[in-house]
Amino acid sequence: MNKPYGKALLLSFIIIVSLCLGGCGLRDQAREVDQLLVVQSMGLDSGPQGVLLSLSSAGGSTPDSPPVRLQSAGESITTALERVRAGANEEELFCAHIGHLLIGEEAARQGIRPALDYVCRSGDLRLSVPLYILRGNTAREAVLGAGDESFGVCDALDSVDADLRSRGDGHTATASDILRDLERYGSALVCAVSLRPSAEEDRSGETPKRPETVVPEGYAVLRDGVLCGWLDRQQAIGVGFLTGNTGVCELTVTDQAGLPVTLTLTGGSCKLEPRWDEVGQLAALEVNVEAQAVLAESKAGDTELDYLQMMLERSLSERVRQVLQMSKQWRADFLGLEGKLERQAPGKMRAMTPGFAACWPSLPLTVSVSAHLTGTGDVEDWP
Amino acid sequence: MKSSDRFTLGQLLALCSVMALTPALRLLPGASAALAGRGGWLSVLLALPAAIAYGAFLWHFGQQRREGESLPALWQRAAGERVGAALLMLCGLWLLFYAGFTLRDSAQRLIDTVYPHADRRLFVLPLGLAAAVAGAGEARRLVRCAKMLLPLLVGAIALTLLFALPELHSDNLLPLAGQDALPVLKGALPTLDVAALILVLLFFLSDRLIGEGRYRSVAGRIALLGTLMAALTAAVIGAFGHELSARLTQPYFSLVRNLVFFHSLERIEALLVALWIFSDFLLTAALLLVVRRCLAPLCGEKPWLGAAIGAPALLIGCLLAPEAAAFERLSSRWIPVANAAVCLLLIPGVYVLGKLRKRL
Repeated sequence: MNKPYGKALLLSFIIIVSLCLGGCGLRDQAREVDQLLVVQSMGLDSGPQGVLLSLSSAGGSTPDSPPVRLQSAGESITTALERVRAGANEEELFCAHIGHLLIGEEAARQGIRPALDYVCRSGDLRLSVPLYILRGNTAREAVLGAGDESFGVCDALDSVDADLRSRGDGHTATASDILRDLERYGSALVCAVSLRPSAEEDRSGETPKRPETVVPEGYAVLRDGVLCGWLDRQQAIGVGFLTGNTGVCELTVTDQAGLPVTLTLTGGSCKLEPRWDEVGQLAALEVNVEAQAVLAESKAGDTELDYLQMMLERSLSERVRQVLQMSKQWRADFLGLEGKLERQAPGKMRAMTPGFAACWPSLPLTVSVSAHLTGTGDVEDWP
Repeated sequence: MKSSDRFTLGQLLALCSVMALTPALRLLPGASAALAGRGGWLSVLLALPAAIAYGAFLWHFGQQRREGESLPALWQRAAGERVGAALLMLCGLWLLFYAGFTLRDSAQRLIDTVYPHADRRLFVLPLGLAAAVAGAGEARRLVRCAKMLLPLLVGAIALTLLFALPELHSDNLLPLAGQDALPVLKGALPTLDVAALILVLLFFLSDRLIGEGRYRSVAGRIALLGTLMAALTAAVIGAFGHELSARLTQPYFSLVRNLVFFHSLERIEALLVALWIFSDFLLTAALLLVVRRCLAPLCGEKPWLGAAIGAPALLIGCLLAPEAAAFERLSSRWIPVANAAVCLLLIPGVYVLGKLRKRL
């Protein structure tokens, strides 16, 4: 065999083998996209069998393609998922695009480690999948019950995620964020959501009704992977300052006449100032918060900004204190204060005996808030 | 000059760079994070001077070669004909085992990331056969193949690192304190282990080039590749934190799985994992080629030798650690230790023996 002929033969062989490597046409492995049921939200609850699994696809652009909702139970997530696969005869489940993982309150109280472990081991789920804990409901109620024919829980959670990106009273944490915080600090914050009637009315049926949707509800606090408490949206504002996730959010205070005034927080920062004793132990912690806000709405025309500023400082101080107090009470450093202090004085923090976790519940704290309030856009500041 | 040696040092360095990606991705992000914590990325950089020094030693050792003398012959001169042949065989057997291990590692990567529950032999056999054919041939074919693949693989890494930037958290990488010094130094060991293996392959493949080229270009390549690996380790630790990075079996591909390109393209990990098959192929083929050279003083330059050494590598690849957990233990504990013993004890031992016997 001469050389050019040999090369042509080799090239032909490579091309034929390459065509087979795609998997199309071999052992019925090819799948049409329209045959796939693209699951986008997964709900997990605890049940008598072990795990109650609920799945939902996104709502389509037309009423002809409503979200598909599925449920199953099993000893583990994997077995429950296999049962759903076996039950979904017409379409093949495609779980690689799961974008939200919801966990029911009861399941979270029993611990979310198995769910996180599943995310780590699964070839389908990504570590960047955002996690939510349903406050007062099961995940199944949200996954199967939220929305109507035109939208499902996926669309509602997409909206929650987009909303919280710019706001300071909530934040979505991914599975990897939660795993990292649990490993590092022993506790973590998870975005809490609840099931509420939607603002829109469903007029697709004969009797108009308001479908349920999922709305942000602050944070769920995990300690050692187990749900230990909740922080509502007002307390979440304090969390935003302490964790550096400040964004736009509303805060209502009262003016001198006792009338409500709505302020919009536009940003801020938090500085931690540790005080060390002579043996190198953390003796006290000063928390200095700075906030910027604008006047959004006032019932009285001549509201005095200095007074409102003072009320804002008082209100923020209260929220920050509450959050810090809860962290101490639950013995859970869900704010990652240890990491923040370590950034300032790594050597001293590492040398602490006992460590930060042990001294945190009894650590004296001082909170000071300095706010800067201005009028809004076209309206001049009041004298 | 043998016809198989018609390539330049630059081309050979391209081959070494591509080959390094297989053990680097297996060990560096996870093992460095486990040993050094958040300073894992610094460990990779700290290993570079030691890797450059080890390369300089091998280069110096290779320069002791006389006119027309092959490197295996240099070993035999240094350690004595019989002892030298025995040590060469020992080194060859280790590299043969490593070739089988590389096949198994390649299969495990595909199973972990794209084909869960698949039979490992499905990947070991075709890759092993292709590598055996290539390993039985001439080195220049591997070198030219690597020259084409290097921009593709480095480009893929650079692109993923660029898109991983928004995922990074500075508090996963810093601060580092004085207490971190020892763990960070310990964390340099996996990098040194990878570098030592690749430099030993460079040592055996370079033959005449050692006499002609300048070591500066080798040192420069080690520094460049090390910096890229440090960036990759920083990306993984920066995204997941050292705690999670140490727990993941394929942390780099987990990071790639998270990436979304321009809000539209995602889940490209299968494509990227497929690219790494080229690196596995070249490493296995180069290992088999070096094994052939190591065994040549014992068996002679037999035409069947190239094909014959592919068979045990395939067998090792198919039979080695069938359980994923057992493979993980082998991969993270025993293989690095055995590799360090061969690269950092056996080979310097031959040189010391040569010096003591005043043959070098």
